Amino acid sequence: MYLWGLSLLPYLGSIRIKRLVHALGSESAAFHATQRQLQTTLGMNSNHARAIIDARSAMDIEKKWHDLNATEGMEIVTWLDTDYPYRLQQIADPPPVIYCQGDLACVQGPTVAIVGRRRASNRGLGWARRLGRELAQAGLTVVSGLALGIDTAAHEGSLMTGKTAAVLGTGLDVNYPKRNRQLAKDIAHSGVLITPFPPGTPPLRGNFPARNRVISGLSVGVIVVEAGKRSGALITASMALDQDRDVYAVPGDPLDSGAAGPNRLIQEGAKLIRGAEDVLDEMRLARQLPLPTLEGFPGEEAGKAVGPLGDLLSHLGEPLHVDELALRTGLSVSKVNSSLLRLQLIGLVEELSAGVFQRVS
Amino acid sequence: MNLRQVGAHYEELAAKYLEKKGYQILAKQYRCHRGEIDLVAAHGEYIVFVEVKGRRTNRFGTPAEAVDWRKQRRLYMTARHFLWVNRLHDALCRFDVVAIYTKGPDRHCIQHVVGAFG
Amino acid sequence: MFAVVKSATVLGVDGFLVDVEVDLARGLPGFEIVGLPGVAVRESRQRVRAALKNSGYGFPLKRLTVNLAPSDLRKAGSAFDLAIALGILAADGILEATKVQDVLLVGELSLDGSVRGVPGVLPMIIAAAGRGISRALVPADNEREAALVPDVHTSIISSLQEAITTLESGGQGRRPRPVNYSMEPAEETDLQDVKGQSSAKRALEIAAAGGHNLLLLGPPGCGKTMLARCLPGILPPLSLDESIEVARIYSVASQGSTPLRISRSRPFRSPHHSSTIAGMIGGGSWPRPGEVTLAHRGVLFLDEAGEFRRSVLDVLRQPLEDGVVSLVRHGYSVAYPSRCQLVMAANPCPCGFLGSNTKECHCSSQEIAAYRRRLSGPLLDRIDLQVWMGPLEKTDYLEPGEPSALARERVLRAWESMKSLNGAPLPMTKEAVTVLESAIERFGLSARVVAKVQRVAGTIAALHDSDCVGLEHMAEALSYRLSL
Repeated sequence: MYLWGLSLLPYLGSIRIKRLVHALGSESAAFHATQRQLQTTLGMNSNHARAIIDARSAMDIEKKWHDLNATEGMEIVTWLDTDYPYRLQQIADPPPVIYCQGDLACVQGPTVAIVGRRRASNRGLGWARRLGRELAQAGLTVVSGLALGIDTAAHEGSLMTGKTAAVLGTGLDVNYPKRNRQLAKDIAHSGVLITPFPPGTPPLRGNFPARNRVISGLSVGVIVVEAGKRSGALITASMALDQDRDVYAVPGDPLDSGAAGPNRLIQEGAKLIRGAEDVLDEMRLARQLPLPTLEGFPGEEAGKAVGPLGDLLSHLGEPLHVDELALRTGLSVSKVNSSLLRLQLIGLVEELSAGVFQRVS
Repeated sequence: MNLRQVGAHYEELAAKYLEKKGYQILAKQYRCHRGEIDLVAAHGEYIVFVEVKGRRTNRFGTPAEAVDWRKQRRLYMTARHFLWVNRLHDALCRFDVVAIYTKGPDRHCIQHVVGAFG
Repeated sequence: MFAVVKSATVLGVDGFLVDVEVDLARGLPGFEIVGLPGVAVRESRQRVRAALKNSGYGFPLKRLTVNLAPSDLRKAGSAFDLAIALGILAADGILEATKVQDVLLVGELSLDGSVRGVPGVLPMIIAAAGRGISRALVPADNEREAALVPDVHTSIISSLQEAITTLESGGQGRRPRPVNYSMEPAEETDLQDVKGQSSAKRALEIAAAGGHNLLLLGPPGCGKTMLARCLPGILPPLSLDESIEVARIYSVASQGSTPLRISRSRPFRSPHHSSTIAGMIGGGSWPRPGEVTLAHRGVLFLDEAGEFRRSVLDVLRQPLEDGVVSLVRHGYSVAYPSRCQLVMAANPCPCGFLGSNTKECHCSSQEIAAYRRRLSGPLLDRIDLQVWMGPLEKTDYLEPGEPSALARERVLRAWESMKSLNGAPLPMTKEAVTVLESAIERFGLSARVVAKVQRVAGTIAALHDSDCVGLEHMAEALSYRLSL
């Protein structure tokens, strides 16, 4: 409770809190520190120390703690608790308190973050969704930031087959971005929502780097799918390096502005990713991707189906538009469309973006 | 001559002209609260209501044009009054305009527009 | 001193016969028109008076009353001029009354006595034929419409004098030249001129075969507009009755920019996205048909559908649903037919390059959301097929396209086979049901979307000349499902 109280005070970051607790022996003592103690142990100037004392006396910590714990569905986890994510604990400046909703245990296993720009191309979204799905299927928990664009696609993809964790830059009760309200609900239901910020925190520009730090902190590795030159995803990547995490990047066409970020990361030594297997290989995890087969599709004689369907599949190693596919296979568009739909239903092919299809794995 | 006398002079000229053409003058300067009609004449089956216009030139438009719709309406109402007073409900009626151009002392040119409006 | 002649007026796209009764009485001269005349009808007094005088007929110096019966029907326009003028002559004894009896007289007079064309002549003649009137005089300007109704002996005239001579002689006068129905579509766009886009072409063919409404999505310059313009060319031609139905609408609307349309090809209307509600469904205090009505039995194409005002798209919903636009004005209402096929084209986002791999999209996410919302409004309910068109590839320019004529043949065959079904849905095979069920589960399809997919699958089966909806048909139909 006192650690939580400390986290709400101004001028006290995780490092100072750590130092204070260490010096004074307990959280309770640290919370009730005098102005002199603050100034000597932390080397603070008197104005800041006074502000801390004022904030402390204005706060009815017992009542607030009680109210907050009564809030339905929300859990408060401090770094003293055993269920505090251990990976997060290892970083230099872990948030003393995190608020979460859902199953926090899912970030204790193998995790990987997928991040990228908000204004993504369809192809980028397709990639994020696909990586999310395949990695989740392989048993990883996919961590991302619930932002629009790549983040959303990664969450959606992983929700299809497994677990995902969303790290927010706002309080849990703040609905941001508005369009992802339903997605947030789904994640809370079958994954976990995590934030280092107390309820009621609005989306503030200055809070998002802290959110990014938690994303990389929770993850074993960070995959950057699409990012501009100054994208927040690159901040996450550089934090990941500071925290000794792996950084992966999906390469792109150098002329495409969305590829500037990942391509530079690769140049600087990030691992180039061509698909989910590359990530799994790098993480030395067994390939657990069960390969879908044509068998078991109802009403289908295996031999009859393989003809055109197999032909299509052989062309779908790269993403292709329906028209292009018809041209290459020499099949009629009607045949291509109906076959693609069936392959989609079996899960062998997916629609990367409008009218563009690719073979799964 | 003042204006009124000039007007009376022209009406006199017009009456003489119409009588010469076989019209029978029934009234001159017929007046009621609605307005005034210069001449009322009978010609065959027709009761003819005549507006007389004196002109020196055509510069201000033809005489028929000088009878605008407001004047027409006044003439129409006055004519109706005349027909009603004289119990001539079923008469065939007509509105004519007689224009008199003065070309010098005692030299006139008369133009008669039959059925000028209505 | 009294005469009755026949004329007609138009309400909506229907003609109504009007008796023009003319009475000449003694008393102060005057000229009055009664029987709910509109402004243009009241002004006809001046035109008739001048036209009679300038054609060498005096204007009777009598008390003149014209009654347009039935008196409860609103009458607009200048089409009564000719009937009033000839009625006056008949009442005055100059024209023999028996010779003008039971002749439909339509036309606007100009001051010099010549006769001008009027809108709506075709429905007027049709109304006359329906009431057993076998003779008509119409302006030479309306010659082509006059030729469409063989039941009525119509003579064309270009002046009041010619009308009188024709009537007095009791002969045929000038007969309208017979009309050749043009079979060629007005839009000279052929499918083989559209490069690439084979899946969109296929969707267009299905839409044509089943009369489905179609949404084309794709980046600028990929050929959406051109493709839509090909649709009339692959639709079966109008039947004779249908083409008269369409000509009737254009007859009523023929003013200025909309010329009369006598053709067996289907109309194609492409209103600009700045169009107003009145322009779209018809309107005005004297209503005129709008774009949905002008597209009756044909295609209404909304290019840049996302740019249309929301309210304009909203009002289209009911006419597309009911096939008729009802406009209510004070004291009367009109109904315009509006049975048309809707084709919408739109960019995937306001700038058009969302998801493009070659060019970057500059729209903010709010802009895109607002754009999609406007698109996915009420009209999207009416869309049965959706197709994403990709940007053109270099190879597309080399590919030889298939001409419209071949596609039209297939569409025609599908129409024939569907007509023989009388609207009964084709049976589905077990495999088709299974695919549909797994797709419902996989994509989370709503009941409405499922109903559309089933209809489209039926059309595809008909295109393939199959007597039941099979696996392939259902799967293809599913690939065009609505997923914006």
